[in-house]
Amino acid sequence: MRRRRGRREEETAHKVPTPQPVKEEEDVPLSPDIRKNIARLKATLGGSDDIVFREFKINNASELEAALIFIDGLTNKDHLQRDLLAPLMLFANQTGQAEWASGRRGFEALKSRLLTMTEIKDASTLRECIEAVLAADAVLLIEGSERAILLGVKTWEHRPVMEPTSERIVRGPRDGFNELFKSNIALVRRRIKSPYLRVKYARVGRRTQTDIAIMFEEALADPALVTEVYRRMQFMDVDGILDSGYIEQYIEDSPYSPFPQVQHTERPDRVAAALLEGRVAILVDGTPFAIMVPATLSNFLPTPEDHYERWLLMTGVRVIRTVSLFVGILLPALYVAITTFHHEMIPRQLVLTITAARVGVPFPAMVEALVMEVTFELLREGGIRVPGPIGPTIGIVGGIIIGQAAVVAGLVSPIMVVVVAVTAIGSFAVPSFNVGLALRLLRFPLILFAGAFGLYGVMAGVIIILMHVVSLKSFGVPYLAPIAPSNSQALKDTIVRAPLWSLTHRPKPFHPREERRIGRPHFMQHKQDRGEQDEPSEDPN
Amino acid sequence: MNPAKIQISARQLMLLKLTGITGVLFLGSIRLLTITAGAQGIIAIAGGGIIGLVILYLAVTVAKMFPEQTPFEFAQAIYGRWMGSLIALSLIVYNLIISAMLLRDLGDFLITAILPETPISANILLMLGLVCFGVYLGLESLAYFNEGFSPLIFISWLIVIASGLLRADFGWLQPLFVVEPGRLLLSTVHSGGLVVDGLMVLLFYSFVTDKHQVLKYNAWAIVIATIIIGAIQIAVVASLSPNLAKTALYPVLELARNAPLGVFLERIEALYLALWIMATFIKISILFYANCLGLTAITGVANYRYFILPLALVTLYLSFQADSVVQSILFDAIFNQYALLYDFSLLLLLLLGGLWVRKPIKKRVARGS
Repeated sequence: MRRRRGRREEETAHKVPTPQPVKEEEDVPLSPDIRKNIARLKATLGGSDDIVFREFKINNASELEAALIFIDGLTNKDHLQRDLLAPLMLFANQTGQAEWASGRRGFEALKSRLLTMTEIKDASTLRECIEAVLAADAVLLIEGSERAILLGVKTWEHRPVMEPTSERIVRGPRDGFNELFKSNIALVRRRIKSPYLRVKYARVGRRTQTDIAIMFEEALADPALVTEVYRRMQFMDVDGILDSGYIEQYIEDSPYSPFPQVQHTERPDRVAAALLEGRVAILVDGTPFAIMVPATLSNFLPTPEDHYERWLLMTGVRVIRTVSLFVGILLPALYVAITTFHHEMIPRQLVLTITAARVGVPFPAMVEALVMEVTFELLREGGIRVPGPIGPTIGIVGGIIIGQAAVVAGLVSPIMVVVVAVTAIGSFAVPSFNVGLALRLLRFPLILFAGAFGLYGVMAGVIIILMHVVSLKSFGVPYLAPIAPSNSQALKDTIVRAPLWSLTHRPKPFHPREERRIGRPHFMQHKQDRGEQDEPSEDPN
Repeated sequence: MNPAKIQISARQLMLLKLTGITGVLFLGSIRLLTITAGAQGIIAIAGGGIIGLVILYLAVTVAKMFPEQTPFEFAQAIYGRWMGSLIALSLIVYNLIISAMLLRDLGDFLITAILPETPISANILLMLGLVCFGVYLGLESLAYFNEGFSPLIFISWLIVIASGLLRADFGWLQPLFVVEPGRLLLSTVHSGGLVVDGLMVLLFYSFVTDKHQVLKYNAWAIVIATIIIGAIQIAVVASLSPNLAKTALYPVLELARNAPLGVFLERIEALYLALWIMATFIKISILFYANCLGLTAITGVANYRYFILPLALVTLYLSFQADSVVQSILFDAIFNQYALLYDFSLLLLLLLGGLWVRKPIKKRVARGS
């Protein structure tokens, strides 16, 4: 007993003190005594070595004390040196401001005449100062002043704007989001030069204090939708937000569903397209993935280039993609159902081929399918985790060797290998990774249903999945819209992709404030509408 | 954004009705029609369509009197707590019998057509489980599901009809008008029962957002359903011969089995069946949902989901009451004849009661008191 107590005491003694978020009691006003303010800040921020407290005197002759507090590595020190320390320490006397810098008037003059920085804010409480330091701003404290100056000097190493790796396309813009939140906002704003584009900042995460931006086109987005996004964000009381995926899981409607109800993207053009449909985008600092709400199932199937290529070709591609969706989820189950229960459905020659291929296979088709699917998933997961270029090699080599070996050993039939391979390709053809993931997961219960009840079981499984899908909603919008509830205008851009000029209305399920989005193209204009352009031009002579 | 009261559109109600009527045709209704009216089933079907329209008008008139209430609720509003509950209970029992009948028919059909080695109890239990899940998710989900899938169901009928008509011998339909009037009347009543599809409009009128469209849309549903049933009847008789249409247990299945597309893929009918099973699921779920609503109205329990399991057990028990397929078919034939009578009587009862109750209210409103 004593030993246990002793060990506990020992553990306590060596325990690293847990950093606490800024407490309410620290929301005290700044004191005119700079020493007191520095002491309080040091007490709260602790002895972190990366937090710099640079004390100096404004204009050496005046003896007016000042302190600059910032985090090393997160702020631009050159900027601070050039635009803050140099003017204050060297030139304050020349401008004659230092004498009255301690008063209110002097404080304003300091900001307006001496500091040549673009982002400057006032702070009057200790809490504001702490939050600014942690958010990579610098804080300037001045003796005798009850206010501090917050200086926007954030900078850190980051990835340049690159082509998104998860959403590669053949035709279309190549720029993708990076981990810099403001750069991401700029990438979207560059595309929509509308005065109604709104960007609202917020901070989420008790400890991470992650910056997020809610973007929407005020003239288009449903005000109820924007309010709902704010409401759900308000209820997010979490320790930390490290990626937009955290937010996604907190704000979605049905957390127990395998289907994603929030769309994510690395592409600014995709976010811009969503904003133009009247949807809301959420950008999170530190991640290249923006999220868009509401999201229906039909939002996950197209790729951005569907709108950049000609409509007829992309309609064909979309139909193939839809077929691949069904192949990806249903093919193994249908194979099991037909070979186990409904041989009579298959042409005789094919039955003979399948039967000959299955001779010697010791397992029923259901077990065979499950084993092969699990093996394939193992290979895929292993291939992702193996570092560098070995990953894909493992996938290919593993697939070929294990498949071939399993067939030769008589564990599975060659047809099953073909079925599993086609299914895998089908699931890869679905552009959205998380929808593909859901399909991979749902394939297993469908195989079990097929093994137990044949086609009737497959149908039962499909009914369960579809009933679940139709019951889902994303921010109040039915998940299967515009198929159910149907909307003829929005249907033009789902399984098929109608010509751009015929997509005259924004998708109605999102309740945009302004429904019509385009006018008629030149070849649909009435001759009178074209005016005098069609008239033969008069000869000036 | 907040979940409001469950609401469906008049178009969704129309599609539910259409699926409810046409989705279960494969189970044996066409054979019953052919037995009673022979090759002249089409005349009976046309008559049934007219009866369907009359009943629809009656149902909408009754529902309009109490637009925000289900029939279970307004039966109590008209006839008081006890008498109203009794009427509501009769409607629940009626729906229960239809649900159990459909479940049993589906089970029989599955073991006959595609799953001969699977026990009927397993098939019925699986469908009942699906129905419970569907009812748990609610009317809105069922309506959305049906909206997404009903086009496929209609396309399947079109293919079956077209492929049947392609190999039809229209001589089998000759001569017309030779059936005796009594049998034709019986057949008309039977097809009326088919086309009316119980009291779906009355049951769900209060959930419809655009109520002024209900009559128009559902009239269209009856017209389309009549055309589909008529076309199937013609295709079955002309393609299989009247005798085979009468003797085959599932003539529609035979029609689908012998369709040219079926010859290409051999037994393609399993794919049609998959869609028709979905339709059966919708029909049973809708009746089940209505029953749950009825019980909430009678008992005053707020959440209808509490009644799903007890009702499922009762339906399961009822579906096992028939000893054999033959007994089940006989029961269907007898029940179908009385279904229309029940529909008509209930509507008349509610209409008269509704007029009686509303008259004093109107007078008071006119007096301004």
